[in-house]
Amino acid sequence: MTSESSPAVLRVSALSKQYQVADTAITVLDQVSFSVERGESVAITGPSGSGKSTLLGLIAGLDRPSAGRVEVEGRDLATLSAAELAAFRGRRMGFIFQSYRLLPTLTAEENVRVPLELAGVGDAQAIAHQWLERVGLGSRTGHLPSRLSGGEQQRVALARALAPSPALIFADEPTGNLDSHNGSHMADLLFDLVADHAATLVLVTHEASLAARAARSIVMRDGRIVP
Amino acid sequence: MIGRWLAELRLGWWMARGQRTRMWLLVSCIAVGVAARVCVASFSVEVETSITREARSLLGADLEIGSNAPLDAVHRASLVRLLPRGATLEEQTGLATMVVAPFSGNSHLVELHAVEPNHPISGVTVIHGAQGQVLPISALFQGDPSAVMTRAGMDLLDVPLGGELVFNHLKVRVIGELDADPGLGANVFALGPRVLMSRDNLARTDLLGYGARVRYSTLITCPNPMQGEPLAGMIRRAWRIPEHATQGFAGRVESDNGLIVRTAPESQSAIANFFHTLSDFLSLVSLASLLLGGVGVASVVRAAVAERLDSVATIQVIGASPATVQRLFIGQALVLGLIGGVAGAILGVVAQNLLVWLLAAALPIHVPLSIDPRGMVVGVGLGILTAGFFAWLPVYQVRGLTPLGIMRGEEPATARLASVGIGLLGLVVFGLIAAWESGSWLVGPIFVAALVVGAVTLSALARVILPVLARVRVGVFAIRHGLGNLGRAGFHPGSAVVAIGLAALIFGSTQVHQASISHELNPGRQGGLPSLFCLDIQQEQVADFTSLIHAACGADPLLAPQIHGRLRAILYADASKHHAKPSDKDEEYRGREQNLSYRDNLDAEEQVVAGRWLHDDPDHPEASLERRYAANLGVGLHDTLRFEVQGVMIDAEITSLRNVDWRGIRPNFFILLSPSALKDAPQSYIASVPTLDEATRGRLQTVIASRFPNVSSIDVADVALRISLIIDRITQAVEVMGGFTLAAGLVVLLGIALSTARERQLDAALISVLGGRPRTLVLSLVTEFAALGAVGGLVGLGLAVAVGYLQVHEQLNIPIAIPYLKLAALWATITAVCAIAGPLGCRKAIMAPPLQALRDA
Repeated sequence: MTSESSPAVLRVSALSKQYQVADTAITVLDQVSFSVERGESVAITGPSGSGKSTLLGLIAGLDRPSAGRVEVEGRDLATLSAAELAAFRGRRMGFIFQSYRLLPTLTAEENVRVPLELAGVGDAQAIAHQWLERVGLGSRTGHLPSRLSGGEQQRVALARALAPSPALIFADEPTGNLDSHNGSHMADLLFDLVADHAATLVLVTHEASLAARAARSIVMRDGRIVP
Repeated sequence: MIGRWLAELRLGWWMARGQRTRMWLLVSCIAVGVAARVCVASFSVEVETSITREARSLLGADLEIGSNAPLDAVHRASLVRLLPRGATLEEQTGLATMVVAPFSGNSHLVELHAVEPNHPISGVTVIHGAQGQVLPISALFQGDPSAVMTRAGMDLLDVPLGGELVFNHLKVRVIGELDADPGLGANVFALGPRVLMSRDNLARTDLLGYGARVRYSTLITCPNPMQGEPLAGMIRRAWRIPEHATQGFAGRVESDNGLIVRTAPESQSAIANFFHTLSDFLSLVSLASLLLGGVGVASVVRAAVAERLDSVATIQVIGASPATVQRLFIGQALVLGLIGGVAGAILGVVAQNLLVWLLAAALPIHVPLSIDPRGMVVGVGLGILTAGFFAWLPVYQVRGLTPLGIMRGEEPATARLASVGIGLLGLVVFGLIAAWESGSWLVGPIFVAALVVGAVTLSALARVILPVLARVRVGVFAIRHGLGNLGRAGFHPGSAVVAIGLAALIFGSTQVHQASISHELNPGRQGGLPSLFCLDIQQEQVADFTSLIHAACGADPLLAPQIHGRLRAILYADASKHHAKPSDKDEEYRGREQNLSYRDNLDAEEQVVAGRWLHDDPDHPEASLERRYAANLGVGLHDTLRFEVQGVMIDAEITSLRNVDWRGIRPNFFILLSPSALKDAPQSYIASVPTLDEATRGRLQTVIASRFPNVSSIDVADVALRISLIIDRITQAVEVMGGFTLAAGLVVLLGIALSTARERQLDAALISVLGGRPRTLVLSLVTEFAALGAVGGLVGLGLAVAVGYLQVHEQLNIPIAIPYLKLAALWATITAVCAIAGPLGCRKAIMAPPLQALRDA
């Protein structure tokens, strides 16, 4: 189901999420609404426990909301089956996590190839190689994650996220596990590559300096957007 | 599509890296079961093939015409006309008779074959003389009456080569040792050793008189063995002998003249069926190994999924659907199942040798090691199916988790409906496989259902017992820690108990069977077996025979009249049954003489379970049948059996069915008629002689053989011993298969040890940090795995006794004898093996440096 034509690539409407812990319902997100336009970079900030990562997970289709709606490129994620959602994620979204989330038994190149092959892209190996070159890891393609530093692992994750040419990049504390030098380098790489590909970036961070690089910030507190 | 599948296969292979031990475990789970299956399948195929291939040499001909009287001139002339050019004929006469060795004073029942100079017309007869020289068969036709005998026979009778035997009044010299003869050893059980002599000398023994149980065989060999089957058909048609049981005007009819025509393959059907039945049973036991292996696969896959949940979340994030995730894990399992299947198939071919060696005593022919490609392919296929199926449920349970849910640490919920659905599907699939393996739509599925019931029972008992053990407080920390692991979440001790328990159940029930049968055959058991059964006592010999026995034992023999008759027809009370197709069972009764008897009263060892006891009405003969015999024959109350006794037809209505305690000392019969029907018929007597010690028994047997040469006496203790030996061998073969199930159970145990490697590594690190020594953790592991083995073994063996009771009581109608010592030894062995194997499986985890474990925690 699509909404009327709009430059908004992401539209969130009254999104809520609750968890049941024993007999208590805990509200993590409460009636969150916003939109992101194509090519825009948005930073979601807020103190720990404000619901930032949960919000990111929901708008990326990694979990199901308790209420509300998420539209990505005009498609209501709730109307997609699990298989359709996975395929949509693989083709139209890229993800970068704080803990890198590389597959530990796959080499750097194989990690970057996975989303391409799942999407049925023909020359996945070549594309993966190119992206690893672009992030400065052309000589480390055959290394397992355990043989890469934190910064290198995050660059592999960045390559993996961008290789399918997604419309949206979601990054959850992408520099959280990196030292300041690597973090800064990583941030530069992220914003440069996103800009090069005209992708939309939604970034969760508690670092003010990183948030400042985004075109816009959304501040969260206690599960709500601070106006 | 193919590109996508290849990509998924590739991703699955990448994700399986670093799990080599787990992969080998899964391969082993499948390999053990497939090895068992291929072992049995290869053995079965090769035995059946060998028997069929050797049928001609086993029979000594392509065709046999059997009868209870020599072929008359009419049939002989007809036969000569029907024979193809170049066919060879041999006439043999055979009977079981007593022989006395005067020098030793021993006597024994022997199978006497009287042959002609052209013996054998097919196959090989090898006779060695006193100097080891090979003697021709013609040596039996020269000089004084002579015979050749097997070495076993000479040992039994304690007669040397050149020694003397007495058949009735005829003295015969043993001129050679019979080492090979067509059909020698072809019967799984023979009444006595084989003796060959000439037909002329047999005639001189005067053993062929009235009442003798003689079998006349006309053996025919065709120039081309393929001519045997059509020749049999021509003879049957010419002599009006039905090939199979057919319906007469009112029931089953056999040939009018008591002639039977059998081709070589048909003649070996009994032994072929015996091994076929044995193989079917062993196949079921091998299937149990495969199913246990499947439990191991489920355990390994569950652990693999749990360990890889993070990766599952990641690949779902980057585009893998839940279905893709399932395909990844199941695909891995299928590939590993293929590898395990191939490995198991090779191992099975090697293990076949062991089976052949164990059953060599019962095999009539040499069975070479062979490779049965079809059996191997089927085995590999079953391995793949088992791996894929048992990997399904643990993988299926992950499909409900979202990527974020996994990252949050949510655990897969037990999908109860799915579990039940998959379980039912498994029951159907493996029930069908079991039906195919066992050749029975009933036995196979019941076996699988019994395994499932056993598994469910074991699982339920484990849920009760293990938490209790986990809460036991003992002073020693290591033991307390080990027992505490029995209740630890994520350790899945129930799976280990189920696997070990099922293996113990199968193994243990075999032991109970064997012990019960051996106890039953033990002459020293309470109630005792009779010492001797004596057959063919003539009417005029009864008084003298009774006196002889009384003098030897201080008690009279128990005598029962015996009349030979043929079942000619069954007249059903329900006329609609007359149009039913003849069944396989009909073949068992066609052409076979029935042993009939009559009595006024019920014996103490029998009871009427349907109908009423016989009324003696000369105008209306009645019959009383043993219950199971009647069921086998397919008859019931008010059906009428038509017997022919010496040309006289007797129609007897079935008025009662009896349960007979065959363990009694008195001879009994499947078929009893009312006295008026048979008391005037030509009859002989069967006698059972009360329990005697071995020496007295041997002397008495010799005296009987000397004074009553026509009377055959069967040493019951000797027969019981030989049956026991065969049963022992068969039990050993079943134990070999049971060994596979134990191996499968151990693999499951190792799988569980492996799946908890991380937790155990942390345990080792913490214990080390807190000042514990390595042996503390070792003792903890030994305690934990010994407890698992002990609980699984105990519960499994308990169930084995219950199952054994049901089987021996219901099927064999004998009391159960529980081999307590053997079961205790088995339980101790299982416990000890688990106590060793478990810690060995964990050794990598407990030997890892503590810091790494603490860092990874």
